[in-house]
Amino acid sequence: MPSLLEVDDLVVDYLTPNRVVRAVDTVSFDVRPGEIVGLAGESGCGKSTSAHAILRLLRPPAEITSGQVLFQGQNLLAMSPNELRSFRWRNISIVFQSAMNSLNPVISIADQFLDTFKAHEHVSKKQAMDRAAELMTLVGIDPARLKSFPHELSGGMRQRVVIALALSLSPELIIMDEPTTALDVVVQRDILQEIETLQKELKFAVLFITHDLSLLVEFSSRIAIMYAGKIVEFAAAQELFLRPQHPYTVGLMESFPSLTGPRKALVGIPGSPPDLGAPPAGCRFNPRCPRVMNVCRSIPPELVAHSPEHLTACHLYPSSLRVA
Amino acid sequence: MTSALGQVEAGDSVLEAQSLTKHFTVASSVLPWRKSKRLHAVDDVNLVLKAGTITALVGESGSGKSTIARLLARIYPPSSGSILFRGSDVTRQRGRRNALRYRSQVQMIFQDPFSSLNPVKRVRHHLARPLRNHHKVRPGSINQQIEELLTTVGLVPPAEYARVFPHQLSGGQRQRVAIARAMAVEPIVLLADEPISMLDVSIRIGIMNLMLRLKTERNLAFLYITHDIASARYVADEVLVMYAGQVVERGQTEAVLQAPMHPYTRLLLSAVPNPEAGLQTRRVEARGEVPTVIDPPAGCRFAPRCPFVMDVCRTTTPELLQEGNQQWVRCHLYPASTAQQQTSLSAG
Repeated sequence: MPSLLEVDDLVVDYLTPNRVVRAVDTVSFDVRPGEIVGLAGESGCGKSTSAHAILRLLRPPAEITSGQVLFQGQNLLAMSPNELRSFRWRNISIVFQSAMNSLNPVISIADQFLDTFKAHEHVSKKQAMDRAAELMTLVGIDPARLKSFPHELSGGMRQRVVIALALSLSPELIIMDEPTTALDVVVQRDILQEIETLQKELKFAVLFITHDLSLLVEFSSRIAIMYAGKIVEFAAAQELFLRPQHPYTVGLMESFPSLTGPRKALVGIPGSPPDLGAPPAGCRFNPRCPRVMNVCRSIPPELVAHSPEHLTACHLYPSSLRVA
Repeated sequence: MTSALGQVEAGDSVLEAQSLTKHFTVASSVLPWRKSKRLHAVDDVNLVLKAGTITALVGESGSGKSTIARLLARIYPPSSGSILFRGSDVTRQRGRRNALRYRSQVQMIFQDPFSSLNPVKRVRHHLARPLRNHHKVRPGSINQQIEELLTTVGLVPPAEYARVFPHQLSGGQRQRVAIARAMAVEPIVLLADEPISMLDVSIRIGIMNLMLRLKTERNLAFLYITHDIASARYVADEVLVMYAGQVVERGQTEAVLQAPMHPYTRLLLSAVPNPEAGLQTRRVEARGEVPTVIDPPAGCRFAPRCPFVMDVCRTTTPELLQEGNQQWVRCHLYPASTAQQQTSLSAG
């Protein structure tokens, strides 16, 4: 299947007066039409920076140094500011972690919808309000709440409003940056179910960014695992869960205590992620890796396919198929 | 205090809350003459912390779990009810001397290791202060005590860690410093309010394993407050589930998690991400969030969201009653509650 979004060798640097911090280092992945791709990793691994780079939302000192972002064949990194303005939200929209911060606190929900429609298309106020009411119903909120202000809604409802806003121009892709992290588990599940239902119905694709791997396994079709600015493994969700290859992925899987089955002692992953201003030579995971070899300390492994749908960047898995 | 009462044995009850209640007054700032309302943050909570035991307090935000930690740490005075420390009521004690004495036995660990440490002071300062303030410095070198503490929490080599500033440490290491600071006064109770929720997944297990080790080695009575029920299963011996200021279910961790009785506990368990089951296979149908409890009417607080709601739930507040061997539940669905209901009806 042709890709909807293709990210090739994306590099993002934070340029500070003293040094250059490479937050995203030659990251490549793709999202196909109508699928949910998960991007998982710990704080500071570059997952949010990658997502923001796709929509060119980065501000100095962050800078896209090289790479390509193709959306339906169009290079986003080459677009003019005007092209970009009409492209954003219509083709790719984004849902941020904190709904409270992405809604304007001093205008009503109705006005936030109105703003979105007015910025992108010529519609009458009546038409816009009808669409807004439809969208609210779609995400399970009474359209009467359009009159409310953000502070009058609960955290879960605010996040639903933000999702409705992201859906407002029927984009092909929605980037969701930790959309449920600030919410309680019951509300989280509620919203995830909602997203899944909407996604089946409206057939948009989702790039879902989170630190919660257990959630992604349930929810997405493919998962990319990031560590210290690089993708270390990329595979179908079930494949990744049943046959994780990279020792970091294995460690992550073993960091979640289980609710069922026998209670067993877990070890987690010793140590902590490296300083991206001075990452270790070779594989960036090598200081924490339980299966480290000599080669890992000098040569960075490449992300190569072990089977057609399972890519791993690890010297333990010699390439059988090379990715161009 | 400790010397008078002697050594704490594993299983001894050390800190007890009896009918602990905390109401906050919510005054209307616009209409100050209006009668003020009361927010029931914690209502009639009973709990016992035992030496060598981790008790988990599980609930969503707004359920009152952090208020309980603050009541037990005596940061807030309770509205009613009492706190018993090794058998004696400390609720009405006043004064700095009493406060110091209490805190030398009951210590707290906070959620955010980024703000609970002083950014301009080295690690050694954070550990030296409680040692001096509580007169726990042993003859000889305070440095040696600091190094022992750092070794206990797994920060080796300790001499190096003592020298650094908090910003030079990762989140997990900072939380270890916070734990070492709490351990400095050799407490017998540790109140940990969401100690791992700000940390990255890969280092959470390390902190939980440290809690388990301290529990056994130091015979600590641990209160572990969390919204993450899976982590509660990993560390806790006993669990209390809170909803809207009340304990709705409590018991041995495995008993409660493998055979949850209260509809809210079941909802909470079914909402946890579980890679072994797809979203579609078990959809959860219970919209809504934990309500803010301002001047609540009688009845069960979960009734508006409960799939098994009955008429009685809307009129009578259920009691927390023992149901089965090691399990207590606050729900009209269970016979103990019904029996109690009938006795009180016939008596009345």
